[in-house]
Amino acid sequence: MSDPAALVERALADLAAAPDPEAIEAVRVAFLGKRSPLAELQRGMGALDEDARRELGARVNAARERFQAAFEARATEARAAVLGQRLESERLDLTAPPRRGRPGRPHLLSQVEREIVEVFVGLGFRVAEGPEAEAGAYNFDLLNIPPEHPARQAMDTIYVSVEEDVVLRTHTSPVQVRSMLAASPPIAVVCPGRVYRADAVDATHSPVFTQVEGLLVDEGVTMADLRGTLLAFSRAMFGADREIRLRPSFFPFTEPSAEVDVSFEGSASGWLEILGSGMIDPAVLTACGIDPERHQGFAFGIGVERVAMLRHGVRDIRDLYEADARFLARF
Amino acid sequence: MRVPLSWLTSMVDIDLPLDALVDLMGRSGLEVEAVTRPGAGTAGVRTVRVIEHAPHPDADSLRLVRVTGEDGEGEVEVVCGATNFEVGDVVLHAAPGTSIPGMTLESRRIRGVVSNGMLASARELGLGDDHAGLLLLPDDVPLGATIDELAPIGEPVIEIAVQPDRGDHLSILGVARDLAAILDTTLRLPEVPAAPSPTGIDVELATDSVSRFVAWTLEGVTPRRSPLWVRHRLAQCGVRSIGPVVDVTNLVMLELGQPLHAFDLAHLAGARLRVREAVAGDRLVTLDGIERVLEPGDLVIDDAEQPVSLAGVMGGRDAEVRDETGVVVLEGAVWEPAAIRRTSRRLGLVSEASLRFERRVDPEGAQRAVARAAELVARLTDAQAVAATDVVRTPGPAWVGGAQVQASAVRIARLVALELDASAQRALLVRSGCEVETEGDLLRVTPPSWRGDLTRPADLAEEVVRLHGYDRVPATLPRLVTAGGRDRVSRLELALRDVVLAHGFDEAVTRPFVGDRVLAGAVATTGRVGLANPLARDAAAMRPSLLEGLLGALRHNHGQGRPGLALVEHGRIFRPTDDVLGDVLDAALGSGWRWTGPDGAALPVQPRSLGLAAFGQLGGPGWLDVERGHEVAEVLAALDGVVARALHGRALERRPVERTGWHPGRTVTLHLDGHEVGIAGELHPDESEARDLPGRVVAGELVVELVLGLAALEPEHPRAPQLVRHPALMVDVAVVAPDAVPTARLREAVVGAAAPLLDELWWFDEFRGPQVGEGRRSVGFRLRLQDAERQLEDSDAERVIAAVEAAVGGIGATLRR
Repeated sequence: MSDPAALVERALADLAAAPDPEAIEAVRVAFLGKRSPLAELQRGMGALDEDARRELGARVNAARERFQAAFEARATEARAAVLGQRLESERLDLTAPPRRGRPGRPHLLSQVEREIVEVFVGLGFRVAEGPEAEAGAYNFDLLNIPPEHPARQAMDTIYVSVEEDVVLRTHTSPVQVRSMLAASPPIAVVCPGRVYRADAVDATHSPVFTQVEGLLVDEGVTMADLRGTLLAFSRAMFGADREIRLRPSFFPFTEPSAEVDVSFEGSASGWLEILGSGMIDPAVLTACGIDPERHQGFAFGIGVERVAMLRHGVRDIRDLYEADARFLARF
Repeated sequence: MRVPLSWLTSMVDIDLPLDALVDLMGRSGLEVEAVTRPGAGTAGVRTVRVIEHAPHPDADSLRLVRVTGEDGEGEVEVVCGATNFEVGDVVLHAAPGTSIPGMTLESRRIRGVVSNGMLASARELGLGDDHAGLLLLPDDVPLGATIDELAPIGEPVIEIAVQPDRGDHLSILGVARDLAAILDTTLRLPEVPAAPSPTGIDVELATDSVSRFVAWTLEGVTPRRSPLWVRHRLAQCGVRSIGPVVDVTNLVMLELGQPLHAFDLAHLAGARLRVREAVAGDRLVTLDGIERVLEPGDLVIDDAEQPVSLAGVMGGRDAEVRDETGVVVLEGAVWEPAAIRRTSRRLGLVSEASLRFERRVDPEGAQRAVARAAELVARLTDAQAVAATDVVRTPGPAWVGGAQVQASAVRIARLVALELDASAQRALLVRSGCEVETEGDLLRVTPPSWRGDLTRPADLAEEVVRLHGYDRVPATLPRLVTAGGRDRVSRLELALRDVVLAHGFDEAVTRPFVGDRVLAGAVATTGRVGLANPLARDAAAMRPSLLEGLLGALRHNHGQGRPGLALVEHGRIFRPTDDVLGDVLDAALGSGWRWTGPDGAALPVQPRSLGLAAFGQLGGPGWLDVERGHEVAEVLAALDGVVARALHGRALERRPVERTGWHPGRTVTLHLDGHEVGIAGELHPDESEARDLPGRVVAGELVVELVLGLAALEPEHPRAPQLVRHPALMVDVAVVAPDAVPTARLREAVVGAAAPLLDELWWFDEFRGPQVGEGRRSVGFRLRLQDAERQLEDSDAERVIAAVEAAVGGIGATLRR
């Protein structure tokens, strides 16, 4: 016949010797299970008198409690050891590059175009787009560029069809024309898009490039409004300390016309030409169904490549159209 | 237009340093392209006379030349390679210690003989391109004079970019006159002699394309050389010296802006000139020796027998002046700009004269120019003007212009945002040479004859603000009253591009031209939008798809040693008006997406598209997977992402397809609402090899215009879903199907069968092996079932499985239990 104290002593020794959680559980079953000596002892208690039964019951409970405490401690310890081993075995070198893809990057031209457009959107301009293969009438005639004008020659303009007078638009101004024909003043649109010229590819020329043109037609629009708008643009794009300078120029669709320079450290004169602009020529307004006696307006055209190249130090315009991964990754 | 500084200041006083002058010109409409100093570096070069010359004893091609010394006396020996001179000629000698551009001379031995400096050609002195021999000067030049006593060699020459509407800037006078207006100072015109009183040759003007014709007869022209100052002026302006008479006509053209022509009277039949429009069949050999076949619209000058000049463009060869010419007719005429432009363009013949006539010369300037030229020819050749003809076409043709312009001073001031009243504006316009009357707010302006650009109030506004100073226009922000911003489609377009970027594709921008060979992209076609005047053979048409540009970019990067790359481009593609892609867009969107010209004629189909392409090994920042390459799955996932972002609850349908250039087993067309809208797949190995791209190349294209168009038709604000709270039931089914039945069809069948209770379905596994049999595979789907009204039970799962079994049975598949 076993003594609970002796039984528990043996079980505690077994617990101490059990190497892993499974062996520890086996010890628990061996000590507390239905067929364990302790259970046998309890089953035999019915034959005892009350005092003996109570006395034995107390000893059994004490043994059980003693075992339970030791078991909990030992099980916890064993689980911790197992977990510790697992964690040790799961060690990862997180200083190695994560083998996952990265998001792609927007092209510099897209970024700069979007930035320019957002400046004007912030000022209240609406974004408008139009076709790149455009009717000569919209690209030229309605913009006060008559058929014999030099700009319409094949040496300057790429034609889709001479007979049908379809050209690759030479500026996004036809979008302005479409906007003026489609709506009545006030009209404030900004027109981003690709444009084309019959230029061979070299470091400073591209037969395709990107423009953001803008147009405002309303009552009482002045040249000061033009200047203020372009000053806001220049400061947003190049820095709050910039100044701009307007110089007389000629465009068929504006009068007065102005080239605009932005102050630029590092240029010989302290200025760099960034865009062309002017007050919309009355002939253009009339052609687009707007009464120049009542409404005035200004227009401007910004070369996205030029802004990108100046601001980011791009030396060769071809870099913008080559999609070299080294170039794409930079912006 | 090149403007030598001393020539300019001979007409207008300029009290400014050069930098300040250049800056002022730039800010006043005289854009300076460059300032050069031709001949700079020349010092101490003197005139000498050739005393004697003899062959070099040891070199056949060289001469030993004895010339006069420094003060015109004494002798100096020089070795010289030129042979165009004789004893007695006056030439320029750069003695040891003197310098010419780029070098300082010293005595040196040439083939055993000491050469004391050199005798100079025009080119060596920066006096033009002539290097055929020595620069020969007239006999009456003082000997021993240094070159800078004869001409301001090395002075600044300001090159101006002349604006198309400012033809008056194509002369020294024009620039000086404008500077006088800008600086508000006076202009000095060269004095010219009065016309001789006898009437000269007979002139008839038989066309309205000429408004004035002046012709002076000069007798006693003797052959001379042009003096250094004339040659220098021409060289400064980039004009070649020919001989004194022609040089004078060019010099006066540069000085006063009026092109002139000199005829040799001895070669004019009948001493008469008649101006007319050409008729078909007219022929003329021009000065450059080329026979020109004329057409109606060209203008010719006839003598009594035949054409002798292509008016305003180039003179005829037969009547040009030459060395033996004794009697010269100097002609100065005013031609219609549009007529000259037409002829010049048609013949591809641009001359200094046509350039000026095209941009309009001063209609009042011909008389002065001919007089000035007559005086200079007289000075250079001892000739005398003996007779003059001056014919004015009356009434004056309309193109001459000069009409009075009426404008409101208040409107001008308001437009340019300057506080300038009528009298202030008048003062500015008077500086430009306008005659101005004011009547209250009204300006009545008669522009000067040389300003053909001042025809409307807007032109006067520009002139006012130009002379007052563009810098003085204030800066204000306009009061905008439009809603502004991007519309829904424009915003969505940006978002869709960002979806593709998020999938790991870098954005590329490529030139949208293609050659003959093009890989078929979305909605394949052979139709092209060709170019009438392409820049190159391999850029003869506009891209019908974005893939060509992207594959070219991949090739470029492969050539740069890049192991792999994934690119996206977003832009327009181009198809003929009747292209199949147009039909697809019409069917899906109606015709509103098409662009038309003002007459309603359809422009080429040019929808926005999204192209993707990738090659080589997978990688990221700092790592590379040398085992794995880019896969079609990336393209499909990105394009699915685009559609999911744009269209709620709709997805691209994929249909296996065989297309030239594409892998026959790894390519699908993409469909939306039944319309073919794209393609995705792997390039055929032959195709990638032909493009010199390694390994597998994957690509895809989606006509995003259609996606955007459909999105615009959807409700702008999607409704929130009602989230079901009852517990969900997960059910896995394994469907065994022949390989010929695509996964998309299995999925369709499963979805259809489970529909009422199906909340979501995932493809999770594909298994092949002997258990399922040859040519078949088992596809695992996990179904999430849920009901809004009640909690589902096992019997619901059993019902769904039974329904799935029946459905897949209908397409030749079985359920694996």
